[in-house]
Amino acid sequence: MVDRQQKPMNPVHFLDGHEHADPGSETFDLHELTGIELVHVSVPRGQLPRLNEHLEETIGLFWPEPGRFSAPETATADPGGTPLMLMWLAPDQCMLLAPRRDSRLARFIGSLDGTGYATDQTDNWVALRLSGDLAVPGLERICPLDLHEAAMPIGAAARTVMEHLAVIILRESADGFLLLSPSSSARSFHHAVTTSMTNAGA
Amino acid sequence: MTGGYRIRTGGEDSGARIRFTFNGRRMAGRDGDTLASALLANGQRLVGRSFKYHRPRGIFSAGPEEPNALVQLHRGARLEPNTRATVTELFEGLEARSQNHFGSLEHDLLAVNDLLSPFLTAGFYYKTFMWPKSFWEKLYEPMIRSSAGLGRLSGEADPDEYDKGFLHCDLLIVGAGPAGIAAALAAAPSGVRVILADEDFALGGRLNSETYELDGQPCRLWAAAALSELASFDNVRLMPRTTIYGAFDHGIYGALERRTDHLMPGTSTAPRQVLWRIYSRRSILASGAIERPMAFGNNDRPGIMLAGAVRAYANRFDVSCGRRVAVFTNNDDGWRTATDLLAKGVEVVAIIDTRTGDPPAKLDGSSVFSGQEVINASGRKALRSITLANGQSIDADCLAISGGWNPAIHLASHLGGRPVWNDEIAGFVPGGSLPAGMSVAGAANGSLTLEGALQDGLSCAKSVLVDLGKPGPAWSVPTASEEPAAISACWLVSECRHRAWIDLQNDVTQKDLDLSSREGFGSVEHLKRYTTLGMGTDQGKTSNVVGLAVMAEISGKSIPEVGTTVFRPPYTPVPIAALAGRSRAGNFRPVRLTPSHTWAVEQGAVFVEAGNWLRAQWFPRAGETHWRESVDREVRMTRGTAGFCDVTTLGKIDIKGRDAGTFLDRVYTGTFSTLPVGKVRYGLMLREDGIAYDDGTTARLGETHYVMTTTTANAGLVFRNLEFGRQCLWPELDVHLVSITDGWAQFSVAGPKSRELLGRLIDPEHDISNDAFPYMACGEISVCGGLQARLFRISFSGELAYEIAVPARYGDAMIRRLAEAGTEFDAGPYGTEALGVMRIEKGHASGNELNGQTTARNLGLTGVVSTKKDFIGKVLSQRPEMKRDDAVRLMGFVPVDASSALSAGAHFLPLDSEATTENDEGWMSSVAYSPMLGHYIGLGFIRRGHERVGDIVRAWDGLRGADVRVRISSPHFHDPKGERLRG
Repeated sequence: MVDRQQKPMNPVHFLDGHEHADPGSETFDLHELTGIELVHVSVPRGQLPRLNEHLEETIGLFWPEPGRFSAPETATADPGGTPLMLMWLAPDQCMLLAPRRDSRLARFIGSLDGTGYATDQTDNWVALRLSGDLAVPGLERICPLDLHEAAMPIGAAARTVMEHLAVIILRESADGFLLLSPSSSARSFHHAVTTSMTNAGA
Repeated sequence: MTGGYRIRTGGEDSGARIRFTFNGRRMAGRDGDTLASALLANGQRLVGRSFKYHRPRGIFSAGPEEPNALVQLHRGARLEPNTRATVTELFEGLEARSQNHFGSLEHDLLAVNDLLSPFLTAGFYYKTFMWPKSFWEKLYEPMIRSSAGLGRLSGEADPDEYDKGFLHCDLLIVGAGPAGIAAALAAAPSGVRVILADEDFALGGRLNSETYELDGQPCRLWAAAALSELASFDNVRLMPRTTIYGAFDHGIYGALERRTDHLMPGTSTAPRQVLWRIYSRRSILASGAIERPMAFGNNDRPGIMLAGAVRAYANRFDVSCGRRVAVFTNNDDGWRTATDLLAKGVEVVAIIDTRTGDPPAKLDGSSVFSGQEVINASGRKALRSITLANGQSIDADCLAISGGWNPAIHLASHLGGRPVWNDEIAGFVPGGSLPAGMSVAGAANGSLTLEGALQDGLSCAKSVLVDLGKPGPAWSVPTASEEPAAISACWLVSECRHRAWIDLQNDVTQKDLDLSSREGFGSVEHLKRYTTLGMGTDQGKTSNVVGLAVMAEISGKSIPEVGTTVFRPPYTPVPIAALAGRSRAGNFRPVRLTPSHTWAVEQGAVFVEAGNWLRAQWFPRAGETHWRESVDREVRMTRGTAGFCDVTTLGKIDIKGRDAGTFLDRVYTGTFSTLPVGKVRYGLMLREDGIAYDDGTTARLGETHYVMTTTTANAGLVFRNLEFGRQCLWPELDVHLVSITDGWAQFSVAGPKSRELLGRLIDPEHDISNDAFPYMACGEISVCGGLQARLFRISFSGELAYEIAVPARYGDAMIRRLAEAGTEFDAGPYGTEALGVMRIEKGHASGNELNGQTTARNLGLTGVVSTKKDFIGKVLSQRPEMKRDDAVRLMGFVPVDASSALSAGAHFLPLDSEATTENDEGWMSSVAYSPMLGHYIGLGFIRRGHERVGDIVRAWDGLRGADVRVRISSPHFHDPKGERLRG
């Protein structure tokens, strides 16, 4: 075997792990979440009770209500940390977001045994974490959904379209959001979000 | 009054001084001015020329309804024509110019048109320029176009930024006048989310322009206090400088917010305008009313203005519109202008009321003419005098006319609501079905008094709160001054020997309406198109109702019988740039990049757009001067040794479930439930009507797990159709779909050395020999020391070939490894052009062949259509016309003269036949130069092609002027037996 085959392959993040750094501006913070895995989880017909049990056992999460994500209670203690959450996407379909190489995730997938279908989605999405005073007024420029806390409370998960791009929006705090959008258009999406923040702040 | 027309209040001019220019002349205005008020303060009476006759025109109104005072602002790329001076906020350094004149504003050479007016009547376009016919395109049309229009565009790209956005509220209030403010004050304490929007930069509507009192204080101060109270509510969003321009379905409104139009261009980094889409649960239309004139001879002279506007200029801007003002009215409100002007110290020489009876007010020092009419006006560039019906002439430099008020009902009618006539105010009020959730308050609803408007606002807010399940408002209406509003309709004075303008902007006179009626254009919609009444930037805000009334008189009908034209968005002009928002140039649409993009850029690849994707089209090498050299080399390289190509853009859909096989059987023409694990099969999908729409391969990776590929173009459509099948057609099936297009970087590795090349990368525990991994095998493997990957032995090129997929983040590393390993074999990348050449050489159908006209039979793909099961499109593909034996077939075509080029789009004709539709036998769908064969080849559809191999036909391309003799051949030019791809 030739030596070069043994050299590990290095991943390139969709935005090179971009972090918004604008000296003197503390109005918004935006960075690419790179240390995560995403797994699409769907329910075989009639298997939700078993899948829920399995989720609780392996990860400690329950299948969320429509339009919501579930997360461990400890998540609120470290809002800047790498999240663990199960977000509702469609009837019988959720997406699990977990820290990379989290043993709970491996346990969950490794012992599914027909109680759920898991599809790796890590490389399908770019994940941007957005927070700050400009987050809501900025998102108003591209997000067709109502961002008021009455309509999109903390813990909400929704699918929408921003600047022609599919987006999953999750509200982590009053002014904190997690945005997932297809990875191939990550640069366009990033441009759309930063432009919105800049425009709203100008 | 000072030397200019600014009225001194309290001894000194108030407000900061602002310098601006008009036609290069330096002028000064003050903070809070509009361009119009500043021009009037400087005594600038003449501000533009009329559309058709180039008559001198002055400022007519004080609001968005302005028909005359259209000016050009700024210069260079920011030049903006047709801007209404009456709504342009003045700022330091503003440059304004008049428009629509040939020569100077004062000496417009095209004013000769006025002398030709007998020839420029309604519909003159349709009657003149008819002959000789050949003159139309070369002479008449260019001539008309050059003299038509008003302002001029710069022709340069707009340097400003524009943005869009989405807002949501429980209650949208359109208009921040008395009714709107009352509604907001009543609703705000309940906590409902309110948006209060107004097109003016100063919220308050007429409260800013009147001298009435509310709760004992001037209404202007009351409004300021109310707005300040509203601003303190978190649930209220005040939006000045925001025009709600359209009402759309489901409580959605369009709004244009002018963010920096009031700042010197280039001084702000903010987007100039934001186009908002507002989602509202309820809305209150409190858009007020627009005053209308009465028509009489030469009523378009500069200095003839709407009475409410003259009053607004005096009260709000401290500007007198003249030194000797006359008032011509048919209602009580006109008298208010006279009393307010007198109170400001402006001379009111006369008030002429069409009505008889007791005057509604006592005026000191003004002559009062009851039951009189103004029948003519003189003074070409500025009003000098008016003539009454009794023959008396009165010197005046400003005539304030009030013919009554038209409720601004536009938004109430945008979704088809037909207005109804209200005799009491002699105007149309909203009627029919209003947009969902809308109620109308105040003057917009015909409540023309201040108290009526406030009451209306409160009562609309009450209903809204009840609808939204909130407690009723505690707010009560302030005590308002008494406001008489009696009117006796008058549209066109009875004695009118001179031309009387109905539509100032479009130069439509009462004579045009007469003529239109005589020529049979009596319907209001015909009238509009024939005379242009109500067209243009003002959309007839001051002219429509007068025009309808005059038409009614002419035709002997009532006004409601004549009806109105249809109101459509936008209410006032919306710049195309605002509608475009950010979708310009490089940001027109998002761009999708393949995982190998950075590497391809480093290689100097030439890219092509495929939908939103950017794909490497070819990779030029040093010394190659023509794209064909690069493409030919890439084809020869791939067929000679090996090549690799990023095919990530193909749609990839992960399909899981116990019924996944059954599901696939229903969407594909072929059978997939029997496909063994570890195998790939080609699949064709039909539309319901039996026409082929997409093809690709589907691999079975596990008992309940398939991965489908689609064409790049149809990835979204196929996914949507599959979801429709899953959710709606067969909800009983256990099947789930996930798009994984972006998740996997996929590369085609093709050519006789492809197995060896891959062998350098694939981890040794995976055997990819022909026996272990034959043609159409697939499997999950690992590469480069444990990276998970998927390998498919499929071929689009006709060579021994694979597609290998790794997680997208590793795509960059993967292509670098492929390139590195490829050097040993002289292998390298190939682009989409070489890919296209090789698939044509191999005879594979692609987008050009799956064009929405072709069936499996046309494509020669009946072999993949199962007769043993049902699938989408099966029934309709059995129609007799779809099964004709003489239908077109996909065939290959080679030029008889090998040096001839072929062109896609050419039509096939029998030799020696005319190029007619009857003789048309089919068309060429794809062509390429085959470097392997040394000449052009083509794929195309020709009638009974499969029975005509060897025949020669014409490939006639009328568009490009080509006519080439071609021989029909098998579509499989390269390795027709498929030995190479199985090797």
